[in-house]
Amino acid sequence: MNDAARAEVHIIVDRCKGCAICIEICQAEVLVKSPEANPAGVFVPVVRDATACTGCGICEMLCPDFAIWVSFPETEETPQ
Amino acid sequence: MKMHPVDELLHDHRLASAWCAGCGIGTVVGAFLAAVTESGIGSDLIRLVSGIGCTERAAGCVNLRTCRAGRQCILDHAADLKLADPGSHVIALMNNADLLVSGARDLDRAVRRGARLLVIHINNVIYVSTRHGLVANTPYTRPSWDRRFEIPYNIPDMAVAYGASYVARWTQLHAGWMKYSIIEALSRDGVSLVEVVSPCLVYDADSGGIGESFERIRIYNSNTSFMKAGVCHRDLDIRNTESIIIGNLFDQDVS
Ligand code: SF4
Ligand code: SF4
Repeated sequence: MNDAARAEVHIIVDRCKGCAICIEICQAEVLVKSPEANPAGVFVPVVRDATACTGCGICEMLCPDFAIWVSFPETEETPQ
Repeated sequence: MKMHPVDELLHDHRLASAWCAGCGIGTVVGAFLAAVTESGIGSDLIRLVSGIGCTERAAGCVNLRTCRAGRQCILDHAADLKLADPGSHVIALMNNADLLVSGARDLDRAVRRGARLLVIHINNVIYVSTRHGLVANTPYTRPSWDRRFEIPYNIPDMAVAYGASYVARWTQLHAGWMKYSIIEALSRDGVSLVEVVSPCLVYDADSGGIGESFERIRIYNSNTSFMKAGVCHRDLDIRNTESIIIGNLFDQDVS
């Protein structure tokens, strides 16, 4: 099984400010903007295709609001 | 694990009001916290000093020993902290107002005092700080309050000239490299400086052509190039090059 199958993307809806940097940076096009705003009026990203995630962790590194991160449930490790 | 990897080092409730959506300061703070975690330095040994403006809010958002030097001489304060607690790692988080209004003189003094400090400088490309205080540093040169144009600083060149032992430059896009530069800089003697080019979203909202935060990621991608052998520090002025030169620009340990 490769890393792509093991990576899991988590989004903290309350922290997200909807800047869309994670959507822009993800080369695997895992994320898309939600069609509906959350209670704070923010269009948070949602996972379009979880299996496409390569686990690169770039979304986690670039998110300015600590609102998205990637875990590897099988190994309980986060990307370095 | 159901927590963000740096959650233990954050004051979660302060994040919502800290910075604008997409502001690079948050990314820099994230890279710094990841560097602290990965470096193996205990978080109790980290002292973070900040100055004024939006960058200053980082001190309230992180669960570390922090202080706000405000408009005082931040690097003097940081050097004093290091002197008082030699076992600690002192990091000064600064923006253009902090470093260029009074900080350049303090940078010189910190080097002369032999202080071991890390300066993380967020180049927010703000040119005019107040009506009475000018901060000339921008690739998009803007008229100051009296309508004159001023020559921006070349921050890496300035740091090398003052005797910094380690200098790197990145943009918001290069958070991974930024993290490794911070880890490397934390292990260096003397004063290290990591510059992060991250224009203020609000201040440059009317400048045209810079765009939304996610559009800037594209700009950083297509307008940056890595430092090459033979490029002189004098040539690192971001106005004079076709692209922003990034990378580990100077390292006394390998020069
Ligand atoms: S980068 Fe972070 S704050 Fe911006 S949209 Fe993605 S999760 Fe939300
Ligand atoms: S870890 Fe990489 S591939 Fe997965 S969602 Fe984030 S940026 Fe996309």
